[in-house]
Amino acid sequence: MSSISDIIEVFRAREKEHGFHAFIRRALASCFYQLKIYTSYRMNFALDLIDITISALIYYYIGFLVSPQDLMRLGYTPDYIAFALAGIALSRYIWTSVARLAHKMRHEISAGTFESLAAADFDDFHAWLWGQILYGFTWSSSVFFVTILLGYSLGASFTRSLVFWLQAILIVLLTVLIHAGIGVMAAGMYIVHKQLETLLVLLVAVIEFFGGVLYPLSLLWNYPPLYYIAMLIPFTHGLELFRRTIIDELPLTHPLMLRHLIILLVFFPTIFLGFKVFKHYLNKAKKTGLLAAY
Amino acid sequence: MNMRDYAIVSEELTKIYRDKHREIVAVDHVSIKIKYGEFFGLLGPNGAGKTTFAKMLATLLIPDEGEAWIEGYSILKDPIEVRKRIGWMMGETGGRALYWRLSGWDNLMFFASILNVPRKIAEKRARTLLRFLELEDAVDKLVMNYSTGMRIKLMLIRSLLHNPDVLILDEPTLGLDVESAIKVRNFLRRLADELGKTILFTSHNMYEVEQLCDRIAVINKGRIIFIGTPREIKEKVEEIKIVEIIVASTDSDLKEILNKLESLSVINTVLFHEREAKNIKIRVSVNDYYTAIPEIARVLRGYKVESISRALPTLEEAFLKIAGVKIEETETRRFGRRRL
Repeated sequence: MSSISDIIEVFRAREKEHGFHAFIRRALASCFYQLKIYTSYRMNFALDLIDITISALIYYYIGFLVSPQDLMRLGYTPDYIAFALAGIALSRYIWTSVARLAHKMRHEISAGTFESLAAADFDDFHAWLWGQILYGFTWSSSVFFVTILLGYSLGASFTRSLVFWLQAILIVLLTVLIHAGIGVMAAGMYIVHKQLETLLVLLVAVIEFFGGVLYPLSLLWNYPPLYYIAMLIPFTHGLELFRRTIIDELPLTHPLMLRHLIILLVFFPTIFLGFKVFKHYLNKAKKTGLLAAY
Repeated sequence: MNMRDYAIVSEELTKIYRDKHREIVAVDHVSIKIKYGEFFGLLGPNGAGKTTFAKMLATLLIPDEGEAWIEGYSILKDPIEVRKRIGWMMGETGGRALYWRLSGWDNLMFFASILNVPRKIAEKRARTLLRFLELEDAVDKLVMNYSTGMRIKLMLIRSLLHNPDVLILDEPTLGLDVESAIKVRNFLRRLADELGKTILFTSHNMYEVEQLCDRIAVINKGRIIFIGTPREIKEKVEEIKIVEIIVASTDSDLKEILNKLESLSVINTVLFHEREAKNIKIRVSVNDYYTAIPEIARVLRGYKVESISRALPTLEEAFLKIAGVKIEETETRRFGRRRL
């Protein structure tokens, strides 16, 4: 058993970590311990894998019903399984980027841990949020890789060029960062507006619909208002860039790619805006006493 | 006044909760100065404003009016500097404020990272504190398997990991069993005495603050109604006249004795009775000792009366008096007995 003199001794050291190193450590701790929580539910990952495999098989068989000529007429690859799995793979990032943080916030607030974090917060939750974004990215990436590998095994015509895969990773990162900005914003708003979580589920569905996860976007040309809405959603452009990279092997310098890339970059400030909005709602919650709900 | 002269200063701190239909003033212009190394108790009933006040100091709530400083740092202008200097924990409700799907050790290491404590130092502190609070055997278990007492000890360790100078503890012993509560109280007292920590301790447990605190503020309906030492509180209410009667008797006599006492016009109310070994101890409030004591002695003639004596009010009786609650009303509610 320790004596009080042992305690006095261990409390002599007062050094603390500062600067960027401390920021990275906090962010990594936020990510690492979240992964530990996830893996403490042992069935989670197995169920996720089953979910992905079943989705892949469904679209594999639907692919037999889709005419390759129709797909080509609409400006896409004739390989529907490659088309659909590319959409599904990228859409996994959307839920984790846009809705997961608000969902996480619900857990933190109801468990009372959010207050504990707020009492230990040294940077308006920046490091913690980045850690959570990294966690979401890590989880989605594992699902992404499984989806792509399933695609290869089912004969999807994905690129085998390392250069185009590097380009694809760049596009994924850009798309995830932009949507993480929306997610951080939503998480901040959730602290004050608890009904937002349901709306986020709807938002993700809307993004996936207008993004053209399972159908060619050019189908919307016949419905101009829907097409213009689709063009206002960053995911639409991210997915187009991603598909054209891993299926059609178009470089970013291609005019079609440049157009989507420029539009996507217009949304890039979303990530900075997200943290501003989060801080605004955090302060609002501190004014109204909504940091915890026991 | 230099704000750095005190560990905690609050000036006119006010918090109002608003909804569509009403406003509730939870903390009403509270001004307090707490010295370095002081063990300061904030005492009040449920809903008095203790937690709201503590949360404002911990920068978890933004006040509507007023200002506060921790070691000279403003809770409004320098909240991050304030957080670096405070350790904060909540008692029973905060028992949820841990990650239940992580082990005790992982909880501590996660918060050590968030609190910028280097890993080696955090591990050393955590191990020493876990040993001191006899929690080391459970440290690898998931927190969901901990008892309330274990969780509260873990939260206490967590609040100390970054070696804060000031501890803000909101009802830290609420929900603890007697043995754990004693252990935690002893530990806290030693933190103040031997490590010089300043401790703000909220509670509605009279006994606890009487045992622990150097000074106490009594808060009721958001307002501080008294600040002083536990002894000063007692002295302030010396007009409460208490007579303590000890009778060597059996339980079967108790009802009869109580009936006799309650029938006396010189007794306001029977406040308390309990069996102690072979004796029954009864506390009654009276208007005047000189007429009451002989009358009590007269009606208890025939019983083995050990003593009838004047007694100091307990802190609870003192608090009720200061808070403006009529002692008779409260005690009647508690014991379900009406004054005859």
